[in-house]
Parts: sequence; C-alpha cells; structure tokens
Amino acid sequence: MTVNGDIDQVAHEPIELEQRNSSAKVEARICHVNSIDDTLKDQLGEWSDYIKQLVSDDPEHDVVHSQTLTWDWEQFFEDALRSKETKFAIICRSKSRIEGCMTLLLMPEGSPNFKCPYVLVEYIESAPWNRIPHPSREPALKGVGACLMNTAVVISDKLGYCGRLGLHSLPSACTYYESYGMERRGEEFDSDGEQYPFFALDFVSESQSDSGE
Amino acid sequence: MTNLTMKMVEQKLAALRQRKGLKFDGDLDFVGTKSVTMKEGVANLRISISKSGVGAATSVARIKRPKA
Repeated sequence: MTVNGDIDQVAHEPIELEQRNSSAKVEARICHVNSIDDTLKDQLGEWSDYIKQLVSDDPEHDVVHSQTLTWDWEQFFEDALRSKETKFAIICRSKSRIEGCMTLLLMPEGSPNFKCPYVLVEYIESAPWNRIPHPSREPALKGVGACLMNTAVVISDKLGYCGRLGLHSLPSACTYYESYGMERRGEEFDSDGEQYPFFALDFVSESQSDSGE
Repeated sequence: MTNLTMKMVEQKLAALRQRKGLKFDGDLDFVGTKSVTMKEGVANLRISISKSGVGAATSVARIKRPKA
C-alpha cells in the first residue's frame, strides 16, 4: 500500500466531538486532503469571515491569538500537496464545516532534539468559532485539537514511526502540549528561521524509562 | 507498527498523563496570550477592514508566522 493509501485509511475514521456548552455529541470525520476544490476553499474562507464578523460587530473584541489572522490554510495545503518532502494535509470536518486543520511533515532522519524518525506537526489549528465562541452562532466544539493530534499519532504509527510526534510550539501553546503528554526538549529553529520551543511525544522511550525504573 | 487506533492512542495518552500527573481537558485553547505576533495579526485585520471602509493604513506590519 502507498503512504497516501495508508493515510487515507487512517483519515476516514468517524469521531465524536462534544459541544462546549451542552456536552452534546457531534459526529465528525478526519479527512486527508488530496486536492483543493472550491468547497474546501469556501469552507476555509468561513474561518476568516468569522473573525472579521467578530471584529466588525465589536471592534474591541478580544480576538488576539487567532492564528486565522495570519495563517493561510489554503496556502499551507497547497504547499503540502506540492512539497518535495513528504507532507500531509488533514482536516476535521463536521456536517457542514471544517472544525480543524493540520499539516504533517515526515522526519525520517529525526532532528537535533529528537534523534529518531518522527512525524512533525507543522501547523495545527481549531476553527475560530471553537476557540472564540460567538453567543449568537452555532455552538462551539471541544476537543478538535486533541482529535487532530491523536490522528497524527495514529499516522505516525501507521508509517512505522511508532507514534512519535514532534512540533515547534507557539510560546502560548506550550501548556497545552505539556498537558497533552508531550515533553519539552529545548528549542529548535524552524524552516522559517524562527526559534520555537520543541515538543516531543515518544511512547517507546516513555515505556523504556518506566521499565528501567 | 502496532496498528494503533484512535481509541488506543487515547488510552496510551491517558496512562502517560496519569504517570506524569497531568490534567488534560482536551481543549486546544490559546486564549489569553498577548504575543507580539498576535497583536500584529489583529492590527493587520483591522487595517484590512478599514481599507474596505473609510481611509486606509499606509503600512502593514510584517506578519510573522507562528507555528503549531
């Protein structure tokens, strides 16, 4: 089976998310993006429209910390599809919306702080309505980011990387990745030349250190 | 390869968190950060909005791309 075939297989598992305000369950699906069609473009456009609406309704609305303002997912996905390196574009889709996006890069040689093959989570983001809910809009969903991260672990395992993940964290997201279970391993320069805290998830070394205790 | 499923990943992570004494509420929640990067982002958005209305900003701050 091809790598893409493996990912397609992983990325069609139905998942269950929770509404933030009612805990009601919402069905969603992880999808592997193989091409960028108009539907995908429109749905990605809803993210920035949402933020613009928030600011338009209330110019003082605290929308700081929304990557949507600076991240262009359509571009990220195009880059992932065209890249000479092995990259994957993944989305979490509910009935009518894209609830989260992620791009992955295979690191077969490892990196300075993680010297074994792993999957790098290049970019990951939950939809703005899930992070900055608007009272008059559809309810926000909880756990989209965790679902995407778990998907990355499954993909890493599927590709023979034993579920190992690494990422360069936004300083503000470090607490999240620590509580997710990742270990901070210094800092690394990313491909854009910026330095970020590096986080690793490695079940194999964790179980070895446990058995060595 | 161990043929991990999403459920198995959740279980492995739960065990890992328990060992480390971590509490995870499942939210990818970035609220509360006031980083320069994000302020630049907001500034840029507001500039974009004002461009479609009255007046326009003369310059747009360079937007850094934060990572995961």
